[in-house]
Amino acid sequence: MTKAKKILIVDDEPLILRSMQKTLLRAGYQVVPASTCSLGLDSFKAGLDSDEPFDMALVDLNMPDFEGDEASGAGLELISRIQELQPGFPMIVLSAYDEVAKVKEAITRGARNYCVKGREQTLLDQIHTIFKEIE
Amino acid sequence: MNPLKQAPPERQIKLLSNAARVAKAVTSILDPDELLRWSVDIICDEFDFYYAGVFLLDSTGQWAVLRAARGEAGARMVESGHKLAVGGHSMIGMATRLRQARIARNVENEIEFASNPYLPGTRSEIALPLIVADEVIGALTVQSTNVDAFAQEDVATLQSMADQLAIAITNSHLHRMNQDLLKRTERRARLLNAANEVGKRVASILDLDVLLRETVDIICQAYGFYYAGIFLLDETGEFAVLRAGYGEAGAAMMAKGHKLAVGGHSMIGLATSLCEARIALDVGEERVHFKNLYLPHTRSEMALPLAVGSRVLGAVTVQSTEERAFGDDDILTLQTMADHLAIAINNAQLLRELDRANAELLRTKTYEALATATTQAVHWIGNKALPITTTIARIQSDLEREPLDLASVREDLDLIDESARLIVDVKENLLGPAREQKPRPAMLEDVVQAAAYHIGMPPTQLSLNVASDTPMVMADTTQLARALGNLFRNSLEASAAHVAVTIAPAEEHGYVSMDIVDDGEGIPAEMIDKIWAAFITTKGASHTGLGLPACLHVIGQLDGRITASSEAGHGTTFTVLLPSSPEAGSSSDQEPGLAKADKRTSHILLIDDEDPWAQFAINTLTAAGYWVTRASKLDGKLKPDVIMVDEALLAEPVSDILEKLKGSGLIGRTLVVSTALNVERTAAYLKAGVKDVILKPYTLEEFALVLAI
Repeated sequence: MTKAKKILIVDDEPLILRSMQKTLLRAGYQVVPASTCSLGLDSFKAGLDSDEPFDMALVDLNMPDFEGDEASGAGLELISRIQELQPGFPMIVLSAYDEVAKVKEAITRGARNYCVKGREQTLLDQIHTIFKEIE
Repeated sequence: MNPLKQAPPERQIKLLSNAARVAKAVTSILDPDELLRWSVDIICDEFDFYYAGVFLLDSTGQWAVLRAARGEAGARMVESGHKLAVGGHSMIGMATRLRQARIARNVENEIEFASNPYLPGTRSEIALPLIVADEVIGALTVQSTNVDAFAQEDVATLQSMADQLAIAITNSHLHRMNQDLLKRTERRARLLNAANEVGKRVASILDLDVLLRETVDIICQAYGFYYAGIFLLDETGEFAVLRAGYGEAGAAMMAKGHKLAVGGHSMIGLATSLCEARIALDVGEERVHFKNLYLPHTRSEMALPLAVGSRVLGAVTVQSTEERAFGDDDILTLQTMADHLAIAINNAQLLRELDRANAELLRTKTYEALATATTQAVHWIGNKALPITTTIARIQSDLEREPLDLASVREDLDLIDESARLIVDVKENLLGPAREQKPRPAMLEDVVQAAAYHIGMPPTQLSLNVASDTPMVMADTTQLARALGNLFRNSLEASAAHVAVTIAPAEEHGYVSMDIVDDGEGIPAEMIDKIWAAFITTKGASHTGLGLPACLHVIGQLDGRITASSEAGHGTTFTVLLPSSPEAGSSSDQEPGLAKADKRTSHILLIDDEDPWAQFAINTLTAAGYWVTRASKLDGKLKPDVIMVDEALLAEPVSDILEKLKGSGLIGRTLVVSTALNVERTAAYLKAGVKDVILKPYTLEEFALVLAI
């Protein structure tokens, strides 16, 4: 049996975390939530060191950064750090920021796509598509 | 030698000649004071007399006042104000009353002679009346230390000399009066000029502070006064505050907030409380003069009220270092100037009050509108939120039941879905995407086409007419395209078969006008006033009614205006005014200004329909030395250095173009240009591998930035 893909979700909004976790679980994925950048990076590293690394990460942008301060670019920093550890690791940004500049920045740092919260109905399709492209 | 001592007739000849010389000398002196001083000296020198003195009648005609006299004794007598009564007991008194010469051959025997302690040497005297045109103006006394120095036969000659002296004195006074008149005329001309200057400035200077400052400068410079200041009453009406003051003293006082109480112990205080001019010709004697440490040299002052009708606005102070510095002319012209100034000040204050009242009205109306909109929003959100909470409660309760009513749960979930979707729509419409660009010059026709493209409006449904001299507009093209998209969507939802857009320079200078005319169902008369209000829609509760308010908001933010007119069943016309770009003329006549083409980037392929922007891009880039080709589809043979793809391409879907570019290995040289940037589309283009997604350039500078990428 094919093992379920493992997805890391990093978002400081508990309702978003739980709602997305349920959605992804029902879609057949394993889901690990993290509520801060630091916790997210720690989870990712733990995954790298284990025999069950992550297959994808969904990352919010505006959340506590690595110093614990609320920052609009915290998620971008997390993308960069994860890409340093594993270049090309598939990541999707899920953010309330509806700004083209943020899109460009995220993709420049290595994100595969960008989803605006409230218009995230195609997110599952995007995840499926990326996994198909990787295979 | 005294000619009178000589034997006649030589004596007479000498007398005549001396008298003639005296007459000639004195008639050449024009200054009255100098004339009098010289005359006594000349007479004594020519005739070798002991003493001579000139008396002139005072204004009462009752006293002959000594005005010039020979020697130290004479000077002392003049200084002491020595005078003799006309007709009194003296030679001078008799000469002036009887209008005849009087001789005292030996003063000891003469009853009319009054001995003078200043002139102990006098032995004989002659007093000659000074008469001009039958009027006695004074008398001349000549005294000798010799007895019998004067004989009767000398009178005629000496009287003739005295008459010449009288004429010379009168002439010199006339001369002085002429000089004074000339000075006064020149001064009056200067004052009138100054009044004119102030009048002109009153009419042309809109800034009250500038006007007041310039007025005090004009007053001091034209009149040569030491200081001028303008006070205006404060809002309480209790104090007159200095609003303009001449020179350093004025600046220092204004910096300190100098003010005087209305009705207080000062010239300004009285002028403002009584609304009348106050004049102190000698401030030392004036009870109510306010001693100002900044103006220590003031000797006379005038305070003129600034009033319109009976309303006092303030006062003007004018100060001089001389006593009695203000003549009637000064007072008249300054009061006229003050009256003009008062009118200007009153007008400025009225305008300020009007502005305040307007701003207050606007604030009130805005607040009312905001309150209404907030009420509406609260109402609307409440209506959308309730189904969510009650439905969820219902689902939770349903889940406890056996068996589970799946149809009901499905229906409830649909309810929640719809409510949630509408709430998100509110955010999309009311706020829209982030404002990432400040307004910039843009081709309005291009934004119109992009707007129609992005809402999926078929090109056949849109017709576009643009006047050739239409300038660019200042716009955030992303927001404007969204707003215009709302208008087009409105037309389509009103079943319009066709939308005609006409763009031209507006009648109002500095604006471009755009009419958007559709042939749809129109807007009912009772709704036309409400279409701009949020949350009002004719399309049912599943619509937010935010499309037009969002449009109004965007256009307002761009300093534009939008109005609507409609007739039910006959379509709707929206008229939009947008500020034109101040930079260039019409979009077709920009001159080349890009740097010389980089040899590494010589061929640019433009994938675009044949439209005005494409032509503009070709012209601009060609003039800068680039080789530019345009195609609406990809030609596999070309290998350009840079490819610009217009996102709103009609000929072929952009996604297909990008796929082909990827296949040709050219995707990494491709820039997608967009009028209205969008997150999802940008992400998709970047995922496809394009070099960048950028705002469509409409100016030389923007092209230069694009090609530097």
